[in-house]
Parts: sequence; structure tokens; C-alpha cells
Amino acid sequence: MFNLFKSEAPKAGRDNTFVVTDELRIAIEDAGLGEDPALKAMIETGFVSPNGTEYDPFEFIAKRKELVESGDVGASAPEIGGSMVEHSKAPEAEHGSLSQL
Amino acid sequence: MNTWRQLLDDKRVWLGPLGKSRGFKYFVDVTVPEILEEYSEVVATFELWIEIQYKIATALADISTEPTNEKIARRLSDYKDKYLFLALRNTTEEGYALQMRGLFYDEYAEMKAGEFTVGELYRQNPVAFFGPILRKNERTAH
Repeated sequence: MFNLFKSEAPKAGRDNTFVVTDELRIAIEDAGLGEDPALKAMIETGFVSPNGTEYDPFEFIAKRKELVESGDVGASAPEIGGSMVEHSKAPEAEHGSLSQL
Repeated sequence: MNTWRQLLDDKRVWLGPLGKSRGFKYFVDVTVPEILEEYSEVVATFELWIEIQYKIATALADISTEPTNEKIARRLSDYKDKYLFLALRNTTEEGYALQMRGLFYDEYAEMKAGEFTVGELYRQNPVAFFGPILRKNERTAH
């Protein structure tokens, strides 16, 4: 399945240039992640981690969508002492609750 | 100072209803130490730290009927692949560690240097182990 998203004719100097197919583009847009920086970064890497693990783009989109919707990655994180890359803005965050415990 | 008091007093987070929940206090006083017991003397690493965040979230989900807790635990389950975990959060190891409910810079540096056991880190900064379970204190967020 993964080969479907890779160029069969890599551009000079680059192997496995990732191609966003129409199917994937629709999935990205449906998820509301058209401008999502995490997704853009993954597309640039061809959905491959630094240690060579390949991820399913659709699974990544689903997970990322859920995280953004949770608000936890979208909330800006004021720093204590270090730097934080910028996150996309997201709605109300979910947090633990024991109201029904 | 005990852990429960540390959570209540930590201005980075706001416990909200959890702060008045006897169930959550029991969870903090009894369940979390049980989870940490096996790691207490182990040298803290980033990978281990996020694994413990997942285990704490899972334990909370196990005793709660709130679907939110289950969702939090499921999202943290990506700890098994650090690269995926960070990519999904669009951050770096340092970025995740130093976020508001995370580690202080000195703690992160010492953890990277292998100078902390999990038990020491937890006693110093328990909030960092609860991850997204705890709500950020918007009054200190800017």
C-alpha cells in the first residue's frame, strides 16, 4: 500500500519522493488538516521516521486529527525553561475526570 | 511534602473537580505509587517517562467510566514509538519534555545525563508524570 504513495520515478537527488495522491488529499481535507504543520512535516519525510519505520498516512491523519481535536497538542504551551515548536490551535482540551468514578 | 499536596500546590496545573475527588486522591496516594514501584530505582529516560505517563493514564481509565480518560490513555499509547509520538504532537523530545506540565529545564538536563532515577524525578515533580490528565492552569499560561 505504501508504494502507492511514492513516486515510481524519483526526482534527481531524491529517493522515494512522496506523492500526495488524490485519495490522501481528500482524507487530509476531510480531517481539516490542510494546513496542519505536523502533517506537512510527515509528508516531507514521506511518512518515514528517522529510524526507518514507515507509517500509514491515513492512520497518521486519524491519530493527528484526534489529538488536535482533543485540544492537548493545540494548546499553546508556555515554557518553563526551554523552547517548544509551534502547535496548531485547537479547541477545548480534554483532561482527566472522575465525576463518574 | 506529599504528592497530593504537590499536585494541589503546583501552579502550572488546575485540578478542578479532580482536586475534590476522593477517588482521585486515592489514585494519587495509592495507585500511582504502585505503578511507579517497579521503576522507582530505574534511571529515568524520556522513553520511560512517557511510558509511565501512559501507564498512569491507563490506570485512571481502568477505574473510571469517563470516556475522556480512555481517550487520553489511547493517545498516549503511541509512546511505544517515540518518533511517532513526537511527530503526532509536532514537537521534539525537548519540546515535549519542557511543555507546561512537563519537566523543568534542569530536570530535563539531568534526565538526559542519566542523573535521575524515576523515583527521584517523581518526588521532585509529580505533575510531569500525569501528562494530559491534568489541566493546564490558564492563569499561568500565556
